[in-house]
Amino acid sequence: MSYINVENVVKEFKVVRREKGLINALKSLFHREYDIVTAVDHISFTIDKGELVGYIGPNGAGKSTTIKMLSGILVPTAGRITVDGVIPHQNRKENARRIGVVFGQRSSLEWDLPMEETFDLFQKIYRIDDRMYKRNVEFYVELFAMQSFLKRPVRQLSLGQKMRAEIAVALLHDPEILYLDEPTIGLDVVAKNHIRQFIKRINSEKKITLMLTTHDMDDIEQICDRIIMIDQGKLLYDGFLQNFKEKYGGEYTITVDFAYAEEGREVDPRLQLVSIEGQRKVYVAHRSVIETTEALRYFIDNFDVSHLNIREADIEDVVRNAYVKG
Amino acid sequence: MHYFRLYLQFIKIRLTSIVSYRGSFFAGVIAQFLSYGAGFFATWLLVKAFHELNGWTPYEVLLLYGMNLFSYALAAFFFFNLAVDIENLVISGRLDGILVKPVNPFLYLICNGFNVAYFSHISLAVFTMIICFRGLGISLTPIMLVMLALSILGAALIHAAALVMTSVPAIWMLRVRFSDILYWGMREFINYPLSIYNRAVQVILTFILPYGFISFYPAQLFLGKEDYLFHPSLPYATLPVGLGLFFVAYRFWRYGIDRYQGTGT
Repeated sequence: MSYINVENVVKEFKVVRREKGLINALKSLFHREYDIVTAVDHISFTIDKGELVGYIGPNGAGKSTTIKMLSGILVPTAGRITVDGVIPHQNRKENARRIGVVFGQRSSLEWDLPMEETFDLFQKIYRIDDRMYKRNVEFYVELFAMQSFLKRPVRQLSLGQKMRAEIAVALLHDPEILYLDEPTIGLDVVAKNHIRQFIKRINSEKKITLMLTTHDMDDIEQICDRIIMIDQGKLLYDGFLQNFKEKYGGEYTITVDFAYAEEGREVDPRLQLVSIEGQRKVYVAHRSVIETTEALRYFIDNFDVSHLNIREADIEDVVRNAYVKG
Repeated sequence: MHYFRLYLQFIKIRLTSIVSYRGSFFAGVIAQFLSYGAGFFATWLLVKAFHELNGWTPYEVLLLYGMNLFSYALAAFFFFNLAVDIENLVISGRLDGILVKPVNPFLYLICNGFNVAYFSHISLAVFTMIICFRGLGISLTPIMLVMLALSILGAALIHAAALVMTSVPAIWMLRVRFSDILYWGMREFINYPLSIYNRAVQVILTFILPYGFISFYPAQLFLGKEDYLFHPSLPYATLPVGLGLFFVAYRFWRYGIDRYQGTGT
C-alpha cells in the first residue's frame, strides 16, 4: 500500500442548467434541470512518501478537484482515496493535521495582519507546541527570506511575497504532505524562479511529500521528478519527467513573416507547415529532428525574413500531442 | 479550550483592524444605533397611541421589543458572520481554506466572526428592558433574574437556529432569498403580543416557526400575564425550545457542509 492511493476516483458535479431569456428564468424558479459534469473521471494513481509530483493539465482538467478530494474538502462520487491509511473526507480533521494546502488563486492569510501575527494565529489553529513553533518560524523566515516584510500587513505585500508567506504558513505545523494548487500563477519570472527553488528545497531538506498542480511548462521541467497529466478529468500520462519530455516535449512553433510572398519555394521537410496567413507562415518542428538554432539559421540564411518568432510548446500543445500519440 | 484561545486571538485581530479603520467602525456603530433606535421609537409611539394592546400596556409591549432585540443581538454577535457571510466564503473559496484546517468549521467560523457592532444593539436592548421594568414597578427576584437570563439564552438560540438554518442553501450556492425574507419578516411579528393575532398566526408562531418563545411567552412569566395560549407551561419552554432548535440547526449545517461542492477552481 502506497502513501497516497487514488483508486478509480470519480467526481461529478450537478450543475443547474441555465437557459437564456426571461421566460426560461421564470420557469427555472419552479422546475430546474441539472447537467452532470464529470470533473474527475476514473483516475487512479499512487504516490510514495517523499515524492515530488507535478499534477498537470490545462485549465478545467480536474486538477483542483483532485486536490480538494485529497485534502478532504470534497467527497468523491465514486472510487476510493486513502492518505497514509486515512480516508480524507471521513477523517477530515485527522487528515488536515498531516497536510498543508496552498491554493494559489486565493489567500488564507488575514488581510490586515502582519506575518508575525499570522504565525501566532496559525500556532493557535494547529496547536503547535512552542518549541516546534519557534524552530519552524525561524527556519521558514530564513528559507523564504521573509525578514524584510514580517511587520507589514499582508495587504501591502507583493504577489511573490504573499505566495512565500502562504507556503510558510502551510508548513508551520510540519505537515508530511504539501499540496500546492497553482503556486506560481500570476507571478513574474523572477518570483516564479524563487518559488520553484523553495519548493525543491522543502522537498529535499524537509522530506515533505509534495504534489503541485500547474499548467506552466517551466514549473514542470524545473521542479517535478514525476508527472501525472490529466485532461477533461481523465489520466493521460503518469511517469518520470525524462520520459515525459521525450514522449511529448521538444516541440516548438516558428512563426515566420516573409518579406516577399515565397510562392512555390520548398522549405526543409523537417519543418512542418501548419498554417498560412498572407505572408505569415507557421511551422511546427521537434528538437530531436532539428534544433531551434538550426531552424532559425535556416530561415535567415535562405529567405528574406522580416520577422521570426519561436514559441516552446505549452501545456495545451502537449495535451494535444498526447491525444495524437495516445 | 482550543477554540476559546482561538477566539481570543481573533478578538485581538478584529480589534486591531478596528483601530486601523476607526472612521468606518464608528460610522457603523452610529448607523446601527440610529436604525434600531428608530425601531424602538416606532414601537413606542404605536403603543402609546393605543394605550394598550389586548391588555398589554406600552411598557409591557416595549419589553417584548427589548427581549427580541437583546436575544437577536446575542445570536448575531456569535452567528452573523457564519450565517450571512457564508455566501462570500463559498464564492471566494475561503471556505476551502477553512476545511483544510484541523478545526470544526462551525466553531472556527464563530471564533472568526467576532463582531463588535452588536454592542450597540445589546446596550440599546438592555436600556429598553431596564426602562420597562422600572416603568412597571417590577423588581425581579434573584430567581426571576435567573429565569430571565435563561429565557434570553433560549431566545438567542432560537434566533441563532434561524440564522444558521437559512444559511445552509448558500453553502450549496443556491441563493434562496425566500428563507431570509421569511426570517426577517417574521421577526417583526413578535414585537407585539401574540395574543392580538388570529389563531392561524398564533399556531404558526408557536409550533411551526416558534418565534413566540423569543419574547411573548417568557414575557408573560415576568409580567404576571395570564392570557395563556395553548398551555400555561409555555412561558417556561423558551430554553428547551431554543436548545432543541439549535441542535437541529447545527445538524442541518453539518449536513450542508458534507454536501459542499466548492466552486470548481
